[in-house]
Amino acid sequence: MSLLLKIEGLTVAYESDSKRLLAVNNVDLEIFQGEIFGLAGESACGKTTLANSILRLIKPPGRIISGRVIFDGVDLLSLGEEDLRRIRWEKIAYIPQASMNALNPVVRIYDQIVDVVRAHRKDFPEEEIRRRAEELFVSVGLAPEVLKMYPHELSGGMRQRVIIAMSLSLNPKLLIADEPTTALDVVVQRGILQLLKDINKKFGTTILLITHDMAVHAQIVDRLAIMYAGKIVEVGPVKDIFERPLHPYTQLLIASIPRVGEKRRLAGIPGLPPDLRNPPPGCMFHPRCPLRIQGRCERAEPALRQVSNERKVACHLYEG
Amino acid sequence: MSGVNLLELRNVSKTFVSGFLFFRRKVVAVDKVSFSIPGEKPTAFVLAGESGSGKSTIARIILRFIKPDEGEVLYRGRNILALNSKELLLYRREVQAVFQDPYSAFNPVYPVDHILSITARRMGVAQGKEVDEVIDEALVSVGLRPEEVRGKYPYQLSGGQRQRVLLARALIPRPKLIVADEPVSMLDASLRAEILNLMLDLKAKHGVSFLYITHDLSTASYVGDCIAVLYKGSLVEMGPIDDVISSPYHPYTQLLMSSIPVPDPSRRWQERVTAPEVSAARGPVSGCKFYDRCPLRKEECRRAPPTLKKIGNRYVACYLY
Repeated sequence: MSLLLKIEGLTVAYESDSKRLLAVNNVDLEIFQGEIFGLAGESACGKTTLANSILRLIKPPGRIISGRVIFDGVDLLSLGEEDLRRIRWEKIAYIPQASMNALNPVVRIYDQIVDVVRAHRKDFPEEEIRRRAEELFVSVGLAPEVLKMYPHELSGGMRQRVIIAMSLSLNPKLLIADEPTTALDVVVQRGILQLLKDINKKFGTTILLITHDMAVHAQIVDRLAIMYAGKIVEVGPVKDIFERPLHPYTQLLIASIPRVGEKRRLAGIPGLPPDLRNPPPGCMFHPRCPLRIQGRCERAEPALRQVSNERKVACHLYEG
Repeated sequence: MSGVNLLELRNVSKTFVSGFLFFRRKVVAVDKVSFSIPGEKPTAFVLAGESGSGKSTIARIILRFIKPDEGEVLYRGRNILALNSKELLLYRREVQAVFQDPYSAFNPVYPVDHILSITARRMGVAQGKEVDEVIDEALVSVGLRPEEVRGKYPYQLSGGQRQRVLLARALIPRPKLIVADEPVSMLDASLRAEILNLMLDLKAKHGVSFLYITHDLSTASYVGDCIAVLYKGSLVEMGPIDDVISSPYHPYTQLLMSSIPVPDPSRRWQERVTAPEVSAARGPVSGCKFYDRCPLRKEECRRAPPTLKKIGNRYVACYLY
């Protein structure tokens, strides 16, 4: 497998008059060609900020402080604005959270697709766009007639399919989807997840799926990264992580998911995520960690280290 | 008390009209819904369904925010719209509510004590110095330390703490029933588990019954005793939750169950779904509302809506049975 996206030492800060908050804190991540990569973590852990920084969509008071985002051999963070514009949507398509509600309500779906394509390829012939749009609609499970409709005529699931079709219109290599099914009913969610999987197989599109819902990750991703307080605490094949979670946070997170038909008492995680304006010293998770090593976890910050062939974890428990 | 249901809905219907003049459209939000929460022992009754199924409308009817067009809601055998003022105060005390958004339920300019002391005073639970005792007691029973919460403003608390404070508020009048409309859907997994555990504890220790309204069958199966599944305003299946979940009868319940993502990568979905998605604009249907999505539909399903039939210990509205 070849490397498609490599993030190195990425740090993103939100700054106010006196305080600086690291929403993404020295993150390293590798995403390979053709995989579905999952990014999990609870609200405000930095998932969306990380996704936004890949395409340099961070707005003030947020700022990328350091790091590199290497996509297909090119560092996106040092690219000129015009070159970056070509990468956005053409090479990396991004479906932000709740984007299915961002369709223009007074423009027919077809014309919105034309707009997207024309923004990047001015010379694309109309006939070609129509053919491509119809093809894509069939791939995402929509009838070609939907192209003539307005957004309000569609259900939430259909609008999400439209967005996915649009994101594929220029045949991107990487698709970043942030909580693509969160506002949808379970039945519709299943259809959308199946669709993402189909796209991954059919077009070989690499997918970065961001969601807080661990059950969704369990169902469709190949590899998974767990984020906590701006840091990646664990990475590995999703099967291994669910079978044997290494980081205490991952362990507790998995134990707190209710499973249908199981009455075993759920654990929950005592305490709260840290206030990132005043982060704790040492490991970010140590104040809540049931397995913390006194004298070590509150002093030194654990690095994300390789612990086996495919697994990495940032925890002192796994350092010799 | 034996034999009298704590809460009973009899053929409750509610239609909303939207639009103007020629564009008027009727939406049947709740369609002849009947169910009951028994009075003998504390019960967590789950009302499940997807968005737009009418579950929150039912909650609003029970809480007397809106009136049903037809049917009646009985609390301990008395119609809630025919209560005298004394009975109404009792009803307002004994039936409490917790909603989805623990952020918007607070007035941001007051410390969180405000919502608690107002409840204690207005509900006639306590006066003067007793108010503080009652508040502390309620906070302790939801697992909060009063000294950590009192005097704090809503923005100083986490989502889970806020939802706990709202549960504490609901507990102050010593309710018999808490209507909980998606109380955990905005919370993170770790906090969600705590609130769900709290609901189980309140049921066991304080004898509070719950009407738990949710779209999430995994949390429903965790806290629930009985379940009623709604589809477009109609009940399609109802019964003990373990039975319904382990062997759903109605094709919609089956579809719902098979769509829940299992948090286990070794148990992934195998077969493909081909449930047709229909556009938001739809004409009226005369027969079963699930007809156009049902994989097992027959010609007779189009004629008239199926009624709830009793099969063993549950009820199903489907011509297959």
